[in-house]
Amino acid sequence: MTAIDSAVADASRRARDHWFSDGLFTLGQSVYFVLLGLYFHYFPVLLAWPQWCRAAIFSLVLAVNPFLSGPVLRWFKWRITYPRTGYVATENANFDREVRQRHPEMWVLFAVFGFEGRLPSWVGLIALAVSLGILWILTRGRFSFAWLFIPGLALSGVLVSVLPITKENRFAYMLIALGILYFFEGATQLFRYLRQHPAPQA
Amino acid sequence: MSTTLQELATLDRVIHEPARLMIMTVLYAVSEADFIYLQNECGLTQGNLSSHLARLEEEGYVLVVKTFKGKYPLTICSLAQKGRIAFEEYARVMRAAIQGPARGKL
Repeated sequence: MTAIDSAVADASRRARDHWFSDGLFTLGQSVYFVLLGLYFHYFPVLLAWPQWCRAAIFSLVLAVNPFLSGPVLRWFKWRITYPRTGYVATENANFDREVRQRHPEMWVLFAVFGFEGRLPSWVGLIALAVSLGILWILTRGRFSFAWLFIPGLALSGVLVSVLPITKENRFAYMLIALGILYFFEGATQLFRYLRQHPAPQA
Repeated sequence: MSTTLQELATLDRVIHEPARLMIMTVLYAVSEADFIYLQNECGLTQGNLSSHLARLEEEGYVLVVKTFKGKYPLTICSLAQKGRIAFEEYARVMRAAIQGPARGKL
């Protein structure tokens, strides 16, 4: 690979990183996870409602994610990020895949939370501990804020198992905990970003 | 004179200038970028970037669209097809010069 090839690859990587640099994407994800958690928390209440109604609400909750990471995110970026560090659009068709790779913990934890909701609390806790351990070994240094996620989710797992919470609610509470952790990550990133890049003079 | 050396002499001088090479590299890697992003990435002053963009635009390598987003002026730059081809040719010649048959014979 020549210098020119690596310069192009570096420019491409930096352009994609620019999308995540302000923490707004993570803040959007935090809202989504809290909403998803609230949906599962209130699911027993929704059971009294007609099925089409439940399906409509669930579809609405799922639709929030593309909405948050699409128009809402762009609206904020045009007001916060682009006036400060500029606008760039990548032409990478694999961008969505990269977004998913950016948060590998999300996919592992989804499986674990679902698993935990069907097991006695101590078994669920062990499953969570093992998963977090594997996640730590596999991804340490590969995703930012691992120091926040791993201890944060471990603590949430302990609390959810120790406190008198029903099996059904464990999944919901873990999703809310994930949302709160994302919120901390996003807010920290945004705070750092705003400190590094003060508002331009109009 | 070897073919590779002869090819080096045909390098596109518009792209070969360091600041313009940086601009072209960034624009080649993205679909479009605005003036502020290019300025931050290339570390150029406003005037410098402006003049190099004008040179690239004049050559037909870069497309520049000036608009407004709210109260902020927005200058969106992207690589034209001609610019993309020219950059690829430039990179090919440079690669050939570095990885060419002369390598290892020094």
